[in-house]
Amino acid sequence: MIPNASLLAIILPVISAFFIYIFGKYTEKYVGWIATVAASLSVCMILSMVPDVIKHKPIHDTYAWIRTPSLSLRLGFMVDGLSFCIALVVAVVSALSCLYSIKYMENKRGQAGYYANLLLFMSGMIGVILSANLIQFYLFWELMLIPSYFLIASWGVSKKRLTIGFKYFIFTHIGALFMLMGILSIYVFTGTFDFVELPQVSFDIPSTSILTVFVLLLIGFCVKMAIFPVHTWLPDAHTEAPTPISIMLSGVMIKCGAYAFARIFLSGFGKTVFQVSNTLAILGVITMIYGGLMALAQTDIKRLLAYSSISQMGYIFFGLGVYSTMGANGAIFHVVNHAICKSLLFMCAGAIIHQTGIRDIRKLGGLANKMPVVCVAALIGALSLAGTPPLNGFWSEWMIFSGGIFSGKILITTVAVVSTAITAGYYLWFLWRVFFGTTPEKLEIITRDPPWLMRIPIIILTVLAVVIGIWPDIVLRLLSVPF
Amino acid sequence: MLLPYAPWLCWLIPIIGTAVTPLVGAIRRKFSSYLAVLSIGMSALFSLSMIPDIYLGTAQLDLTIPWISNSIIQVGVCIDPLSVLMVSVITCIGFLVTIFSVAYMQKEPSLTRFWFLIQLFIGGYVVIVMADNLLFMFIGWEIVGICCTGLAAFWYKDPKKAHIGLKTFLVLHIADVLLLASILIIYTYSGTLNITELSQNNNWMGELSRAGLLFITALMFFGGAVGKAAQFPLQEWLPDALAASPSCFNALTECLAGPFLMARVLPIFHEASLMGYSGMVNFFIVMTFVGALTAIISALIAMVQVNIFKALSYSISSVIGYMMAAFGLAGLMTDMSWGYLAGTFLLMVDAFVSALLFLTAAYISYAVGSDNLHHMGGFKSRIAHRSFEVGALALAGIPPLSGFWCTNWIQTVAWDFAAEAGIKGQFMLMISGYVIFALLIIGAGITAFYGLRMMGLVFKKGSKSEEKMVKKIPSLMRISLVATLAITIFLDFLALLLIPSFNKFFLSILGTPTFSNIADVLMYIVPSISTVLTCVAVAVGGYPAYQLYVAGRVNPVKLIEEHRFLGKVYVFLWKRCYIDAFYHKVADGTIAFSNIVHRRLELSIDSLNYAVASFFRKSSKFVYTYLELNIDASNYGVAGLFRRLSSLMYKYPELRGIDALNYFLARFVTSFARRFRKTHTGVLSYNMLTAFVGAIILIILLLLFGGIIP
Repeated sequence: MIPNASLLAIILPVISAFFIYIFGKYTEKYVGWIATVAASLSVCMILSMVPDVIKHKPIHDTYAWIRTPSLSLRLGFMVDGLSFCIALVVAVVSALSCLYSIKYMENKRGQAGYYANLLLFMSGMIGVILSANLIQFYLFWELMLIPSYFLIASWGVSKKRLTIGFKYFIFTHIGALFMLMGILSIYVFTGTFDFVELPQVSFDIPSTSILTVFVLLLIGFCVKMAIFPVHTWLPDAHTEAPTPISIMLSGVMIKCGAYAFARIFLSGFGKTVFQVSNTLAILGVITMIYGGLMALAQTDIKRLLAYSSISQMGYIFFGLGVYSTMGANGAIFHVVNHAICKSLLFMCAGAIIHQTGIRDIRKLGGLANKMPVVCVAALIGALSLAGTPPLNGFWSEWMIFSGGIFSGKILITTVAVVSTAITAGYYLWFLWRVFFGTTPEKLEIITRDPPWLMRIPIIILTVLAVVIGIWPDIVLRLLSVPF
Repeated sequence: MLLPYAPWLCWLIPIIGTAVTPLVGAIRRKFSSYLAVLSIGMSALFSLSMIPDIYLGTAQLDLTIPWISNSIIQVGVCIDPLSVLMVSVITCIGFLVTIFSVAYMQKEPSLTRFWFLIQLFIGGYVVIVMADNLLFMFIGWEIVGICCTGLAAFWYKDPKKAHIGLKTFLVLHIADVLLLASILIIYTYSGTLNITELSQNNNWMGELSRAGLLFITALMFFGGAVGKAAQFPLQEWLPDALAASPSCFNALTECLAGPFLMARVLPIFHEASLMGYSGMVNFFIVMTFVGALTAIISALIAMVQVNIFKALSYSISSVIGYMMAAFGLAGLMTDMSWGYLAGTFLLMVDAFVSALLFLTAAYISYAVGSDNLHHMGGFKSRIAHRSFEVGALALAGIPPLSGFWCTNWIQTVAWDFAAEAGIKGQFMLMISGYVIFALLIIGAGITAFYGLRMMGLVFKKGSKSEEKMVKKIPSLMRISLVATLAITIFLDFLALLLIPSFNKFFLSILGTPTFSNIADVLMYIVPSISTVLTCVAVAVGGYPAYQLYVAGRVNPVKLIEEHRFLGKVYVFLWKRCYIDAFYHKVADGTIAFSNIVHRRLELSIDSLNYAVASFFRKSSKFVYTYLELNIDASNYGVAGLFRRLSSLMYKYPELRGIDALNYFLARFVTSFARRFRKTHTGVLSYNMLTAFVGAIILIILLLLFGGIIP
């Protein structure tokens, strides 16, 4: 492996972001390519850690940071079976969305600023996932908020972008503050911020206040994961952001909440999670069904996908909340699969918007033979998320639900399983309205598949969805959720 | 094994073929046809090669390879009589259909897509059959469902057909979800997915039963089969899907996977029923009734269909109802072999009969260019007529064709079951047994009616069609149809003779032979009350159909017009008993509901957020106006006060007091000095006098205070 790979994976995009922004004037034409290369380098850095992770040997790099008599903190990065997969998928999706932006954002203003923010956003997310202590975790958590706010507020598609960006910022920030309170209470009780020490020292938290700490952290995670009823920022933000950013928001950013849940709660707060697991599972199922119903009611392509993200986060939350090894592994696997498939679907939606200029599902139709690549990709993405074997989504949903039944929640799990029919319903209905039937006259002549630069990321993700579906072992061997 | 790796290759080859099809099709459209023929033919070859093993009893194998490390998820195949029989049937029919389709679809522009779906379909179907574990089976199950959807919406440009594809997927998916939930529960309680292991160790059923979940788990499992097998109440997807898809594909009756699945798990469930686990008897009763009701309802609806594919698909759903009833009865009885054999035999025979009927229908509709039964009259083709006769008469239960024996057999099982329950003193079961028997007999009558009706309409002479444009039929289609006809005739006419060897084939599952020779079969099936009643029912159902449609003595349209009751029944059946309409209502209702929730709840949560935000904004404004500004004003007040105070202080103590005092002192000293200056006269005598006075005063003071005088 490359030494300091985890640090490099985070630093490289940051450096390139500053480079791009400062020399933006001179590199105007190639700015997208530079960003893509930088993001791909980050992907390579993360990939270079595969040999260690596959042997179940966690990598733990630390660097000197703060040393005062009262507080001693080291900058640390932790790569293990939990963080590796998510970090990898974050980096891959970000790199692909960079590539996708080159054509999609071609004629937009402020290219240099856009890519700089995108790269900062990316490194914020990777930083959250690789952090080895809570303070660093919080700092990166906020770092990922700020560039994404600028991306929405300044490159958003409609006039409401400032309001929506503000809403996004406030929601996420309030959630983060709750989380910060939780983090500080953990420090007060245990005297450490370190993730590695957390499982041992978490017994120091008095049983009277552990629930409070738990709830404080939970609120923070729930806002990020857009669990009902704190989900309302998501559809607005994901609809408003330019498509490549929607890909990152919906595909990977909201997963940081799931990662935090797995990292902090399952290892440190196991007993509490076990006590409230019924509530968590029900919350997950409600989110699942509610998000699905809302998706049924949408007419805007991206908004439908945004609501479907809420529903899918319900699956993940359910898998984590039932507190069983199978369920947690399934949930993290679903994080990966949903990242792939949802990014794929957003790319397809973006391709449709880019090629036709229409976002309203009611005005589309019969695009299957006009855009065959996009059609097949969207079908695979949607079927996979609807849990159709042998695509990747089936495996993770199967694991999530069998985790639910293992932990003895047969009734709730059965409801959850049956509610996947809603998922299948809205996806298929959506695809049917967009791709099948008669083509409106307006779209008859001009529409065709998007340019190759947009087609390549779509094809890569489609292939990933199918390959992981047929051979889930390639991800499952790298994945292990510490309990 | 005759051919190496046959149990793996029989499903791998079509799936590999699927993966290669787009590439081959991209080179040249026609090549994809050849590839499909090759891959499905190979698959059929490998499947058939497994039959001798079963007969010799050499292979009862369960082969697995791990799929996901550190978990029990495996890819496995199971070679037993049921799977080998079914896989041979499917791949043979698949091969015939493939040959038929090569000609049928040759002008289709999306040929590659068609072959992609067909090969994947057959691969998935074979996976269902060969799989040795429930999860792998489920994967095949879903693949078949997706392919059905894809084929139903094959001509997706037509919004109606696209809609039918969507409907197919949703109905199948609801059933699949139930099946998946059931598999998950079984897995949790048994710790295994392997079907052989599940049957060897049935402690898990005991545990399920104690948890009170056995009935519901079994029912959900059956729910999956109900969806795929197009049983009541989920039968509505099949007719539409078959009418919308390329009609050459219809002969691949995917719904037979449903009864196959039940046959697969029947020994396990039957064992549980024998052990007396609560819930199993109820489950089998439900299953039998679902089968019997479907047999009747679908047959009734089939009576009024004018689209030949819809009529045939209702007929297949009705026949599957018989199979389900047979399996249900098998589970209820102490010895399951009667019902089990009856169901599986019907499964095998009907696969070919239906394939023959569907291929003939596709053949005729290709020639006359219409799916409508009323447009088919007058089409002259000996092959088509013979094929349709063999198929429809077998379906209608005209002796001595297979349909007669099979339905008769199943009814006899029902009768026996009622008798058995009567002996055991289980009154309710006895009654249900008789009810089922009656339902099946009525079903036989209705089947005879619609079978003859279809035949009559297809063969109707001399209507407008004499000068009808009849398309030339490619010879490949004819060859394939003749081959299907030959196999079906063989099965149809020799049904009785085949039963003993069929029984022998299943020895490894059933243990003891039930029918060792023909005499046993005849003894069991023929001299029973069921034979008599079936003949009566067939006559009662067949005669009006003969009069109406074959002989043409009565005009059915006029008959309906004359009798209001018949007219109402006709409309009821024409609307498919309103089941489909009900589902559309449910779907529309769900969408409407989600719209309402979106408007009422979601938007209000969102506006709540905005309300909270605006509350904060307003309250901050309020606080600003009333508190902040007042505090500010009071600050100014305090400041003013101090200012005034200080100005007052400046004026009075400062200017008038201290400062004035200073001036006063200064003035006082000045004036004093001015006055005092007058005493400085410069006259010595005055000075001296004053010095003298001073000295005296000093002396006095010294005397007084100096301490000299104590």
